[in-house]
Amino acid sequence: MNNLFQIDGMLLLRLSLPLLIIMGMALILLLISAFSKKAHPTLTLVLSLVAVVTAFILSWGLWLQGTPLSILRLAFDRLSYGFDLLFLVATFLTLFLSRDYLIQEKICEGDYYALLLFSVFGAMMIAHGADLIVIFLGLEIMSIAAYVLAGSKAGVIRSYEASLKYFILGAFASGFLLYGIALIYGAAGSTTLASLQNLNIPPAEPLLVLMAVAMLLIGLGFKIAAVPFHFWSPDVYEGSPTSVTAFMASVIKAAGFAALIRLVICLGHLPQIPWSKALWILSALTMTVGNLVALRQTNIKRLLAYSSIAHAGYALVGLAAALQKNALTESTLGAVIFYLFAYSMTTIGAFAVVIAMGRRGEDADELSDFSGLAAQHPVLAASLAIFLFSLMGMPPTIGFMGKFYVFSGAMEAGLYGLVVIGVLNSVVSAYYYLAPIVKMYFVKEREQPLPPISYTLLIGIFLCLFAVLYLGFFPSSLFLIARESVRELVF
Amino acid sequence: MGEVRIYMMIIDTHILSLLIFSPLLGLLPLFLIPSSQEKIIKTLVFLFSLLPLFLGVILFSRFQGTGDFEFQEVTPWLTGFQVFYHLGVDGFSMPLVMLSTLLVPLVLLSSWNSVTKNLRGYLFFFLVLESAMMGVFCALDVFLFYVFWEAQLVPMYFLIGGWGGERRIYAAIKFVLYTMVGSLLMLAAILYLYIGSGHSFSLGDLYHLHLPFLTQALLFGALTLAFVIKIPLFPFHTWLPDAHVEAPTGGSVILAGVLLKMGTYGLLRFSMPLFPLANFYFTPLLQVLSVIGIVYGSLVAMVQPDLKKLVAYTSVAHLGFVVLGLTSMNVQGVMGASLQMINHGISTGALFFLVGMIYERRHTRQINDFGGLASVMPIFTVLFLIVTFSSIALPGTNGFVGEFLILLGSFKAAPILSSVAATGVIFGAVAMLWMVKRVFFGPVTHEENRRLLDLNSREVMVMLPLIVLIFAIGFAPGFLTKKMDKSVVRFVERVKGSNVIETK
Repeated sequence: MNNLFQIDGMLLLRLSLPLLIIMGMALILLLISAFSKKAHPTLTLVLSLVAVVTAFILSWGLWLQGTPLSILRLAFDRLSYGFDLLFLVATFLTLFLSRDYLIQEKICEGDYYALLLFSVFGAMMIAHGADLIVIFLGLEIMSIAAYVLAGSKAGVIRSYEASLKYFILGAFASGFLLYGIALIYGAAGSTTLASLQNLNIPPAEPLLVLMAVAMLLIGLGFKIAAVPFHFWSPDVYEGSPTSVTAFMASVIKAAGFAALIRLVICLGHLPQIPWSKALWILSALTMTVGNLVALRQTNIKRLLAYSSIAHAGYALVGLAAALQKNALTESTLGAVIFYLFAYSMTTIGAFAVVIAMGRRGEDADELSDFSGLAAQHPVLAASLAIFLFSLMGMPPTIGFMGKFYVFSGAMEAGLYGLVVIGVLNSVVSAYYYLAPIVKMYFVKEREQPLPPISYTLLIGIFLCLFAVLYLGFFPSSLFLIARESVRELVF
Repeated sequence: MGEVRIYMMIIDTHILSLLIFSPLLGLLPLFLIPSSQEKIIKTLVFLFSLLPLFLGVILFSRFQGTGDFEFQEVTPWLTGFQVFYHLGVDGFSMPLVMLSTLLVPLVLLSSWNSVTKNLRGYLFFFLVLESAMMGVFCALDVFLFYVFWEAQLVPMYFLIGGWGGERRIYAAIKFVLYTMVGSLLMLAAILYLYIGSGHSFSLGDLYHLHLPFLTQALLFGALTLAFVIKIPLFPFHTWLPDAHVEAPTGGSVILAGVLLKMGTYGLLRFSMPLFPLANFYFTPLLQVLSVIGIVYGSLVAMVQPDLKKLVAYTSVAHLGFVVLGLTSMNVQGVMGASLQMINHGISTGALFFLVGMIYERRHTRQINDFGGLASVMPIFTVLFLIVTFSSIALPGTNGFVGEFLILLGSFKAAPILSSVAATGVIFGAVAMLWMVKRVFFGPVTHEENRRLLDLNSREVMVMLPLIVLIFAIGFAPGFLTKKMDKSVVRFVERVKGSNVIETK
């Protein structure tokens, strides 16, 4: 444990620079929007992009250095920087989706970008947390910004409803999480992850730790929208501005997994906790319920929300596998991170196409709005089709590779039943992912002309498309980065 | 001369990659030429599609027939996992690759005027499909095989759904879901195999694996389910008539000609040699199902009012024969089966072309709408008769050689079942000949049929290569079988030999 007075301040500054840049830019943007009546849409976008890109480059440099260090209850290891990279790439893409959508939906730019960056800052803090309290703080910073973002569509009741629902249920989840942390403190006498890792439960207290872990799982299960803690997500995903939905599905979900991964690494050794059984059931439920309910959806944002639930289930398969005794934990945890990245790229792309379809003032997010898109705008239709095939897990896309890595990890761990459930779920999912494709390609009529698509949005779609296809053919380097990220960890 | 030698070296080492990716060259004109210039696009894509055919001919002529995999290429693909980009062909896969390269240009030629809407999309999906099909037959890495296997699903889905008949959406979704149920279980089995073999996807390593019986049975079940759905073996055949009836002519030709063979090819390449114990155990089941398929397919074909559906059901019967030949596990049966795979591609492909040609003229495929066509369209009638004879295995045509060998082989293995299968030959012949009688002979019953034009030179050009092959294989199958002999022998040894070792 470092003493406050022995800390090398310069080192700490250097290591946490990516976080500070994001937070600093968030504050600057907040000031800009407070003092100028009308923030310039391009200026705010460019400032945010600069912050994200700078933070990305710095994180990448620090990832490459790769000396794990733990200072002031913050962890600086490859896992945290790896997740930073994931968050920043996803935010980068979200920013491209945002600019014209904000103008169209009359969302206040300055506040929006500031909140987005605050939310990312929270996510990064979760990734760097070496103490449950730090993780909790990060989670709250991230979530509170997201609650506001969900309701930022001015004058739209459903957006307000989404925000309120997200806030109330999110507050519940935070309560569970905090309660779990309190119980952990009771059992271990400390909340640092390092002390949890050395935790040997006295025979009298297994129940306490068991309850604590259950509470923590519920709290984090809410953030990643695992069944049965998923009820908020379809409504919130549908009501929120679409760019925020893309952000939630990628960054917030991945942040939940970052916390979960840290937690299972430092508590996975406790024999009293039926980790693999709990995660087995959680993932099987999440995949199956998510996919089955998605079958009935006619709104594409709801459909993608349920698909997002199902994908959390697939990622949980990897987590369950990583906790089996005979598993290659590194490679399987790496597979989970790869999966999260794959899912983020694909889902942001899909939401980007949904944004492109929107007309001024109203979203075009019913499946019927997609009828005949292929004839009208072949590029947009082909992009959405590729994203949907990636979500389905068809080669050669990144989604297939993600499923391959996760399922082979689960096979290695001997979770044959879960793999079979997983692949059968993929068949079910094929049915609803094909529905928009049927509408776009095989149904003719389309009267309304498509609104012009902005260049920033098109760039965003192309970047996602590139990631989905390029990493579908050559996933090795990304997988090696993901696997390397979990090799040496500190708490 | 030096340059020529270098080219030949490149061809010897990389011909399979060239073959797999050469169809994608045809995408260039699609993207570069504006869609208003349909004629130029069509011509260029057709010319580009001759390139794989040309490479296929080179492959055929340089293929030795050693029984081992030839023209192998190995490059690491996924580091961290033992996944290789590993290609190679033997006597089973080389003819199937040839068949793919031959059918695609013919399909493009045959749909010259019939595809009017979104021509570029149609050509795009065909070229991607060709590429994926050849990948399936060339892959020696199980993971690579799976990637190509899944990749062909997408273009075929779009071809059925985008250019098909009235119930095309239903048929397309049924096609995808049926195939996916099988193929995703196959993925689980492949992953298990990878872990169980000490991390290898290479077919060469996996052939030497000795697994306990129960494991073999489960894996055999998972892989074989995927393959029998694709073949399709009774009772997994219900997607096929729908897909065939709704698909455009070109789609039907490729579906029957090549895609169904992926199932039988999977059986002989993976299921049977990888799990010899389970194969031995499940052989009677496969034999019974294939005989049911033969008899049932022929009988159902007899009563179909729709030409395409009739041909689709005879396909079920023909592929039943292929499976029967494979499961006899002796040289004659397996040789007959692998020949019949090619024969079915040629004769059923040709039948679908012919049905497509008459459909273009009359916009109906109901047998009742025709009658007496022989007097109106003599060339069409002659070609149709030749192809029918090939389909019902008349001596002198390719079908006879294949079916005769299959029955010869299966009589040794399962005499009673193959006697039943032999009756299927008769039913099949009845179905086809009765249809021919109703369509072509007798008086012309419908006035509009009197004005039908006979085949034009383009359509004759489509049929000519297939007719030549029907007779070539029928009279002198040696040019093909001598390239396949050693592979067949090796396959039989592998399937039977390991069996003997294990039971001792």
